[in-house]
Amino acid sequence: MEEPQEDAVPGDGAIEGGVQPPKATAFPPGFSISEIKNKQRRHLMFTRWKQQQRKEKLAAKKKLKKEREALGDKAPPKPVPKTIDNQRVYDETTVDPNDEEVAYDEATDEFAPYFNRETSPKILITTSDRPHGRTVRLCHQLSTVIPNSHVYYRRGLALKKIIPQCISRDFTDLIVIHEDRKIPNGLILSHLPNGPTAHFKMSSVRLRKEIKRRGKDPTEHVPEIILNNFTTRLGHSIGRMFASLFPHNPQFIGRQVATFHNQRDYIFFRFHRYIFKSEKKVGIQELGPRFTLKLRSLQKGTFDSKYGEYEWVHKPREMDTSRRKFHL
Amino acid sequence: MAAASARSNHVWVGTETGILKGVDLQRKLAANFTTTGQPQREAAVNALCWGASDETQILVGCADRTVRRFSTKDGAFQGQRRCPGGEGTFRGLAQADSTFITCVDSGVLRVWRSDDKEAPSDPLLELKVGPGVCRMRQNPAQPHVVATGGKENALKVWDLQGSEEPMFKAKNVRHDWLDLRVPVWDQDIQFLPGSQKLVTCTGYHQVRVYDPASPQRRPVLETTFGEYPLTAMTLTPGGNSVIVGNTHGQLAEIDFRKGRLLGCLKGLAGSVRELQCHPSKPMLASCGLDRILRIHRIQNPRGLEHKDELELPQERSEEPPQDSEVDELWASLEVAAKRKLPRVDQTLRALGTQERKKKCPGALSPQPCE
Repeated sequence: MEEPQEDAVPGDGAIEGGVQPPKATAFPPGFSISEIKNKQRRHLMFTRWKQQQRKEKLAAKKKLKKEREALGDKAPPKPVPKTIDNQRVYDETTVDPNDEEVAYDEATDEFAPYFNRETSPKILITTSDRPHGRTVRLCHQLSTVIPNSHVYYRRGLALKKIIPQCISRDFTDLIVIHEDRKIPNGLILSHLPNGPTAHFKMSSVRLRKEIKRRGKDPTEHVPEIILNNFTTRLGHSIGRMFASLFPHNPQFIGRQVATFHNQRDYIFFRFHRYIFKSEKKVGIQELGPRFTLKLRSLQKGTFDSKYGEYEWVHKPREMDTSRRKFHL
Repeated sequence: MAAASARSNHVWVGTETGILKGVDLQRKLAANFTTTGQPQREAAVNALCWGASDETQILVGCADRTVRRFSTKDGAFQGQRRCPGGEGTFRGLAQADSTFITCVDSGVLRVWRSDDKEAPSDPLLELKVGPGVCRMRQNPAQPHVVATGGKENALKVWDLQGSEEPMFKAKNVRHDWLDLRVPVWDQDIQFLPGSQKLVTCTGYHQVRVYDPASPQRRPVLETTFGEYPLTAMTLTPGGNSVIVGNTHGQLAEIDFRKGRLLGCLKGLAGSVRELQCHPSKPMLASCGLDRILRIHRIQNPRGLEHKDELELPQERSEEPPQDSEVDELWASLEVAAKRKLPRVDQTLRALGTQERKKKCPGALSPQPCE
């Protein structure tokens, strides 16, 4: 028996009272609205059915609300709506904060010199060859956001030749903004002495003048960093990579904060200035560029896309099969 | 208790932090073993091999140029000895009668007496194999025959009881269509059982078969797979094919009789460091930089059987096929993890086409070993 009912009440597949979709009899099966050949009549019947459904839904809601009020405190808690974020498939690589092996691994990996305060970051920002205006402006705005960073024009040089020169000049990180068709669309972040190289897809780039209601330009103060939601082991590595771009001691006088927020494998970068209006209320103004990143691959060692060993590669046909599984 | 669990471990895995992990696939447990109880990056495991012939001992070659002996019966490291000479990490470790053979990056191959004395005695035999060695493998049928190969280091087969010259030295293939020399980078070597042939996989994504018995010193067969360097290779129990893995985590089964690609295996996200097939059953263990040990079933049906997260990047794996009541036993894989493995059906006849990810909360307490 086909009944084109769109039941708002979950789990209720039975026939409800009221006007049912018109059928000759319940059994043998009659016709449904979709079988009426005349479009006007069909539309009329459908509108009528839909109004009926809406009425029933409203009545059911009211009834439920009354029952809740009647029960008062003893009412069962409201059911939480399902979202993709709270239906996330549990990832086995989620890092347990008490895990000593991971703690040891992180204490001795390539970022250990930064986190042990032995080195302080010095960043080189460059682009792919022959960049256009947007990319160049993004580079300059990024260099105001990240302290101790220098922008250099890429004169068609190979990255493998740039990297030894950077190492000899004590740079700790290399950022390459890749451009296609006059807009920046990729980011390669390489930690320098021999550290991992992350390759991101960049989208939704907004330069400063495209941001509405923004504040004045950022000052030279060292910003604070917020890293949100990097829970898995891979997420930890990427989070540490971002953290190692900024100097250790933020200057709270500047009231500036850079946020890397990971949600559903997309990393949102924002740069704000905040001000505490009272104990609980904060006002923020967005400064600085904003963009979204998605990790494509994490390679061990400095940039070597052909012969390097990859720690993680995004494989769409294998990894993107479930809407509720995320890797970062 | 450590002994009991050590005995029933199916796969032994070594990690970059120096922990040797024994993974029990039946109970989905992993146990950690270290020399000092603390992980040490200096003791990163570079090579693993079975010690005695009855698979009760494992020789672990570490980054600080020591070879440690681990007993699976007692679940503890028993002794270690330094093996100086040459530079670089261990690229091959093998046991032959009462000696063991080590080969390092710079090409120094040494045969040592395997007693438990800590003091480094002089090696019994020393050979210079050539710089840039990537792998040294021992012929399982003839323990005194080893093969070495590496980057710009052609495949050479050495007889340790014979002369200082290699028994077989491979010749490079002809110049390519632009008349340029084809570069050489042998990443992994396997001896084919039942004949004198060898299979190698290269960093230039080629798989080559050499036959020392034939007058031809060039490879008898050559195929390519993918576009990324092949890092690991293993023979399948069927005996006609090899499974190779590359730096992107792609696994492929290649028939070396014709050079045909039989199929691929999915699942790995990072570079494959080591592959090991079970000697009789169609199961493959793979470990790599993505810190996960995976067991695949190669045929009927081809798919992922089991997955185990080991938090540390894995380097080497070995499987011991032991006879016990357990269905399948795997040789050690180098794995570092203390997680409980996800529940998988007990019998390996279960269809392993989907990854089962029902994780059991709560990690195991580490098994201390001194």
